[in-house]
Amino acid sequence: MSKKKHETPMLDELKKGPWPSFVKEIEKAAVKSETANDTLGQVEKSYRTRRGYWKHGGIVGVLGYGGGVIGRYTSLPEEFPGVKFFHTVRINQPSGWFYTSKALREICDIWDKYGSGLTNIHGSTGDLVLLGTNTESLEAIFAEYSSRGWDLGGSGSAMRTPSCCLGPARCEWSNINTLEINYQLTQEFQDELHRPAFPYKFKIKTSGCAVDCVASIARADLSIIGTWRGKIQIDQSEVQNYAKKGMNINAEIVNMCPTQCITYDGKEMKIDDAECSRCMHCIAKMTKALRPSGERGATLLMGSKAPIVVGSLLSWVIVPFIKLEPPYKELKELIRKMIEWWDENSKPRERIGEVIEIKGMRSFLEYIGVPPSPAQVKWPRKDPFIFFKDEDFEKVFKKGKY
Amino acid sequence: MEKEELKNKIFEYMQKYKGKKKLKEKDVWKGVGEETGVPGDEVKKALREMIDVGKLMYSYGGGASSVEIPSEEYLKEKGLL
Amino acid sequence: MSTCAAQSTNKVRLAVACCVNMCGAVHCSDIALVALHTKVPPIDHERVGKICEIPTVISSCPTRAISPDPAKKSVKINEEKCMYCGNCFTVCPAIDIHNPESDGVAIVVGGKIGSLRSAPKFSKLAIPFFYNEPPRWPKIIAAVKNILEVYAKNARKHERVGEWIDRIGWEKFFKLTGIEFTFQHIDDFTFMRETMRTTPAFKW
Repeated sequence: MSKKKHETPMLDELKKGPWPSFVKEIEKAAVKSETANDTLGQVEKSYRTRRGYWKHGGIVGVLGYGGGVIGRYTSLPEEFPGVKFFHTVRINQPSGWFYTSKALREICDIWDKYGSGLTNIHGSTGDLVLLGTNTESLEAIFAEYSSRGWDLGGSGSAMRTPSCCLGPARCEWSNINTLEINYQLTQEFQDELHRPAFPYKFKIKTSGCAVDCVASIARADLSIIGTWRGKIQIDQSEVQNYAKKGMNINAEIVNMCPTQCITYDGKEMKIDDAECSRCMHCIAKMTKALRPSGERGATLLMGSKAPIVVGSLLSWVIVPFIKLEPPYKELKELIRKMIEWWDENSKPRERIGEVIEIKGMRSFLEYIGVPPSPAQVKWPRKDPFIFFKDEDFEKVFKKGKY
Repeated sequence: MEKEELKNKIFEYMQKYKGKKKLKEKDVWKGVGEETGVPGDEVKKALREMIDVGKLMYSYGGGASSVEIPSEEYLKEKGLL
Repeated sequence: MSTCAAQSTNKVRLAVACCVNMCGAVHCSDIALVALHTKVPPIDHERVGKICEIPTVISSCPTRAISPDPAKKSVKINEEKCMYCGNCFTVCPAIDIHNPESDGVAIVVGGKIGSLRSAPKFSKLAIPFFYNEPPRWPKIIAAVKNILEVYAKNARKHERVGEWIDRIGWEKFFKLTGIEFTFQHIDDFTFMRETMRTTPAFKW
């Protein structure tokens, strides 16, 4: 048992109120862990001085792997020796974050043995994140987790741990088997995940529908978003039930439809499916009455990232529609081509979206073998400054294909 | 070229850049490939075998990953020295 | 804030980022806080020479504010171009951007991820700067509460914060919330063109 080492008047403020408190949790861990104890001290100091004292990077990891452990250290090791090392371990989460309580106990027991006992299941990356251990323990940690079937996740200039929404396992809206796709991609890119050889990070996130619960469109180099090509089936009696329960169908559904493809006369709802852009609003609000039908697949979008370095990007459409069925050969081959092109054209620390912006969509699309489509742009070029290649005249313009 | 000889070439290449430039895996496949005429894929295989036994190692800094010659400290920590 | 959330017309994703990396999807949240720097970082020239790769430091700068300083075997920063992103610090710890006196917090609003009704959106700047006031940041909390309450009162059912603002217009957003519009709100980074108002049709 270790006594609370540091006075923490500022952090104590954050234990007040009815909400869960990270301070309380770190204090609980500090009873057993010197690391957690000094974490409290350092955070209190940060609150007092209004600056951080963490450093990261360097040479930590397990033999043969180039990722999965993020070296983290205090810049004040003499004041807080318990956090001289505070490495983060990323464990590759199962698709959709499904665990048995037994598995979670096992993971936590191992972590209590070697680490601070603190986790922030899950991190923004999607991995199961274990917080705070020292360099000497890493091989033992890896041996214990891998002997129970777990593996490290990705970090650095590598394929990052693919992540997906819980998909068909828990949700009626999913158009694709996100869990299986995520699992297959994780297996396919093991080498790329553990051995960083890319210009920078590459993230793949898969969502079953346009609600996009894993935020793939905002933070994945490749966003796989499930969709359909077919009619929205309408159960008119369920439509009536929604109306009876007080839904103002014209205000809440018809008028909010972005393509204005729905009509409702108080008795019957009609959808002009050819005009529908599959945004999911009506389906999400009237789940019992509306459901997609017909061919299922995904739209592949690429390029999203957070602000560093030259501003944030949202993913944009590359492949308007792709069928996704086992063994996902077409998808895997396409991803390999995307990465090859990126690797050939990128400077260090450039994300694929930035490289597409620099080199142009044509170079990228031609390499991966995807034709241009109006679905890829918000609007066409506005200025008459246009690249032409000789072959374009032969292939397109001489034929008068317009 | 024999694999052991190739590995020696890779190590020499790494020594040449030590402390001067952070090398990515790909820089090594390309650089050693050009010097020796050995196809990049073979260099990659040999390089990774070296990494697996701690002769070389992955490192990370400034937001990017690289390959380096391990320090004595690292080798001791891994029980290799 | 639970009472406000219960009254709101759709979900409000409130996110907090401790630096401009904005981990997760903070940059596409209904209301988000992001910590930022506001001063050009000082350079420890002696350490730069020892621990940093100078070409890497120069190329790390998104505004090309960093150039070589051969006399000092280091780099120099063009103060007019630096936007304090800290990417140079990421690749070179000798350019320490931390500054407790001038580091602070901005509030951005109106982002969303789903494609329901309207396309996903980035969060946009609502309030450029608050001083850092641990442990409870009362001014920031009050500002968030104000935005949340104005949204809950004015938005239509199912409208997310960003959809509500797009419908009423940003000039109306600033009027309703009473937030002052400053030079910081006008984009002068790389995206000015697409953010300028190109019509005389706006609201008084």
